[in-house]
Amino acid sequence: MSLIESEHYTDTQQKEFVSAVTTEPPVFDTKHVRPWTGTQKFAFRAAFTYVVLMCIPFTAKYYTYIYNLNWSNLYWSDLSSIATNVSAPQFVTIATESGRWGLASYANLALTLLTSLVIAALWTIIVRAKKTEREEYNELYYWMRVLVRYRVGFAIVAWGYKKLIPMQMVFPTEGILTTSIIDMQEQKLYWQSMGFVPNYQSFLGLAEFLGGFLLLFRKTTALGAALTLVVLANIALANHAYDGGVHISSFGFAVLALIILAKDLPNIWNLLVKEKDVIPTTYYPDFSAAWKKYSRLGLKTVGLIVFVGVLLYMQWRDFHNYRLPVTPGLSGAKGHYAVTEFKLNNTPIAFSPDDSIRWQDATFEEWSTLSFKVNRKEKMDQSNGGSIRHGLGGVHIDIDRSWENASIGGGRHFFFYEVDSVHHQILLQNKNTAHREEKQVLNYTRPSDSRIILSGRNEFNDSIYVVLDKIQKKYPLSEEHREAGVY
Amino acid sequence: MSTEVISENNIEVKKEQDEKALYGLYHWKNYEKIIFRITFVFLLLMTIPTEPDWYVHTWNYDWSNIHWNMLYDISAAGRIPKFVTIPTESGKWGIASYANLFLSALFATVAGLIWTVIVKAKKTERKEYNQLYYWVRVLARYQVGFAIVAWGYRKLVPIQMMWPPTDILNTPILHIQEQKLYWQSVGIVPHYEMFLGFAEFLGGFLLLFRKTTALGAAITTVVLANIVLANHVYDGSVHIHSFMFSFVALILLWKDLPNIWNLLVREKDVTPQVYYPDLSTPWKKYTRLIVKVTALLIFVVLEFVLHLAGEFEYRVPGARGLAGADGYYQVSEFRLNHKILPYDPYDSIRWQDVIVEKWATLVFKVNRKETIDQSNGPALKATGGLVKDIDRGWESSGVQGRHFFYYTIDTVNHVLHLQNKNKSHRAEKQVLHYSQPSNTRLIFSGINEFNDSIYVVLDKSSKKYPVILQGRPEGSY
Repeated sequence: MSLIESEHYTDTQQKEFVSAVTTEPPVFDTKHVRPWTGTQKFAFRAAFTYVVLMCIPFTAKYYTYIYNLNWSNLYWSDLSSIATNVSAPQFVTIATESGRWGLASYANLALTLLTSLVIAALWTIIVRAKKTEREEYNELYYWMRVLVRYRVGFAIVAWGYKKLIPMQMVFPTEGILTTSIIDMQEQKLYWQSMGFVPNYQSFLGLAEFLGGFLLLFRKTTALGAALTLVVLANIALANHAYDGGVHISSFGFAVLALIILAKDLPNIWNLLVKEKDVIPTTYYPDFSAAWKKYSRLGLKTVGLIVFVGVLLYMQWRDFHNYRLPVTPGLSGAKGHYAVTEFKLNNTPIAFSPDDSIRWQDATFEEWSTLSFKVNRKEKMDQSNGGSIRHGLGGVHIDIDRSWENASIGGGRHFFFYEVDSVHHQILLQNKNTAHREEKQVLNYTRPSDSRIILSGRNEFNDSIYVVLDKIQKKYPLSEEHREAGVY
Repeated sequence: MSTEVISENNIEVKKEQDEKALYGLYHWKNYEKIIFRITFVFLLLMTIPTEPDWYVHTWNYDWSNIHWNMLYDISAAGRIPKFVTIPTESGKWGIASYANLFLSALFATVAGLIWTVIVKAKKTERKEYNQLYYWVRVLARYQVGFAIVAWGYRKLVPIQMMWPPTDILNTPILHIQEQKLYWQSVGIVPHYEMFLGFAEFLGGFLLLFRKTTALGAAITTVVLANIVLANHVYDGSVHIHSFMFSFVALILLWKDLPNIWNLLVREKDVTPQVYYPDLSTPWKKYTRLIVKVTALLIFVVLEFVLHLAGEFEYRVPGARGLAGADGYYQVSEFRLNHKILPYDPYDSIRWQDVIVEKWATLVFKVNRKETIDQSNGPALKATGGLVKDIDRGWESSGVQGRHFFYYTIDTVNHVLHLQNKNKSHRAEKQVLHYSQPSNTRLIFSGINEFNDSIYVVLDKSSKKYPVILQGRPEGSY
């Protein structure tokens, strides 16, 4: 006896229960079962071509890069860039401002889409002409999804790791802390506002990681795709708003995630919004043959170990050797200094916010960077201050690690220095690639813990004498959020 | 290769599932009923205003001067019963600030258990709570929905995070509190702020319709959970309310989670159990329709119109500043009691720079500490509308290094009457005569906050500050 018959339900109760008991036929997800419609087949051909163009690198550079890597001494980004290099083929290069930040930067994505549509049309015409058109593409669709799942999954896991281990947005340096909001570019302010809250950055990284990681397993694909879509779409918008420079990659990933999710969207809609019964149908290739089973298991395990396990270890290992120089600076000098006295060619110069030579303030870092503010502009380095040697592998030498000086204006100048502790001398060079010819040689004396006296030749070959006094006061930005390198 | 095919067999399976679903709907298990009773009490505590102030304010609102924050307070304020007040730092930012939520949960648990004991003892226990469950969901959906729509509007019309005042733009980030820095980093990108507002609005709006409840609850849970975390790390102080909304949204989503999991992860057939009360009699039908439409008109449509009609820079004084004078000034000359003081970054009296905002705030830098105002600089008055100009503290709270004076202008005698905006230093007042010999020069003379005579010549900085203002053309900055 069925459960329903064993009970008496009032008419109201029957009316209240609006599930499709008898009134409506269940919604079957039939697209894998029945022959596909013409539209479905065309859409598949276009999506397939698009995914292949996006996910498989077609330039020799990608492969020579991998071949040439120093495998005995791998840096984390060497491995990570193999995973994250998912992009549209470079049909065109547009060197304008719009090509870098604006609408024109989408040109290659648009051309990829266009190419896919053309190929899909040709494909359709050919198979129809030859009368070899298939009824469905279940098998190919499955493998297309595998390709895009793994490419996007590993890439987003790698992106997530850069925040999970909070190295992408570093703690504000003394030089940046001393800079007014108006003197930095939007992206710098945005990233720094994340940089001083590493726990939050780790959480954002976890959200990315989770989306990518879930894509690596068939059963959690839909959850991973939904999470990746939402997180990456937000990143794309934020990168537009702040001119962060990775809007194209983020948008590309978001679209690929949407392609993955497309299969489940009708089911989700039917279940949640239309409150109908849903019967999903799923196609798997037959993996029961032993060689298939073990190849699959072997490939998957190796992929996971390398791009999820080893990569995490390497990022942890290289945590503090990334955006900022690692050469130690003058010991114990780290801080923000007032310029108490300044002589140019033995003439004292009074403080003036309009002076182009007289320093207004100075900062020392734990590493060997000195910054000072004068009323003189530099050509701005508009990059994000990346430290990765793109296409070559490894990390830049200290002077080229430009996070701390990129996108900072307002007359603050950043000099890398080498300490000659025998002669109490520092040899300085401007970090800005547009002003590398600026060099200084300064002797230092440290009469007390809080005072540093510099004297020697400045970048214009004039003699200078500078007395710096460390400013010690309480700041509203709390100590825990300012201690670079201490987590 | 395994594909499923529609067959008679599937139809049979389907029928069985439906029967089970129907049976389950009218025969709740014991633990389901206990959990329901606890959740029911908890949701009432979260959604019904318990603060007497809420009722007093709502009753006393001056509706002829309607302001968006009145509607906002009706839909979002007065909630979470105040069992205790913990004035420690942890009570404001940390774990102790969750005390009232914990106590609400505890109260709900005890009440739910007592309810269970009573109905069991009296042998009046029901087989199911479909009806009550439906209505408490309606209550929670509308409360959270309207509240989050209102939250979203404040970013969708990008006024919550305003463009940084000239002072904040000219302050090194070291001198700015976390929350302010975070909000200003959003304030410089109004389009992105609008998108964030739209995400909030969408979550809240979808909660207002039964069919889209699950989507709305999912968006609200995720967006608000992120706001909770951001408010913790930046000490933004709305973590409790965000947590409450996020948690209630999760409770609303709870019903659908097993189905989502079964469909997406386990790839199983899913039969949703859906219950609606019978609202087919005309009076029920039209009552529902009228109540719903009215509420939507007020809290969605009117609320939006009021945001558009309201002050875009509501966080700073509404009174206009000295005409044509706004800008960043260097102090070319400063006399204290007729004696010239040279520039000195350590001087506690001699101004180092001056900012005249578009609104009636004069800001100057000297080397003298003030007790910092750690609030978010709220500008909304609990009794409706905005607080007085001098109390709108966005520009000065959490910012160090400068002193902020609100002023009124006597245009006949060319005199400014200034008063320190900082609540701890309100006693400081100045009376300064002003003259503008040229477009770029401003001269003040009069009595400063220590009753000394000062004479100040200000020259508008010719220096361009193009970095954050000009997008991304290449060049020297």
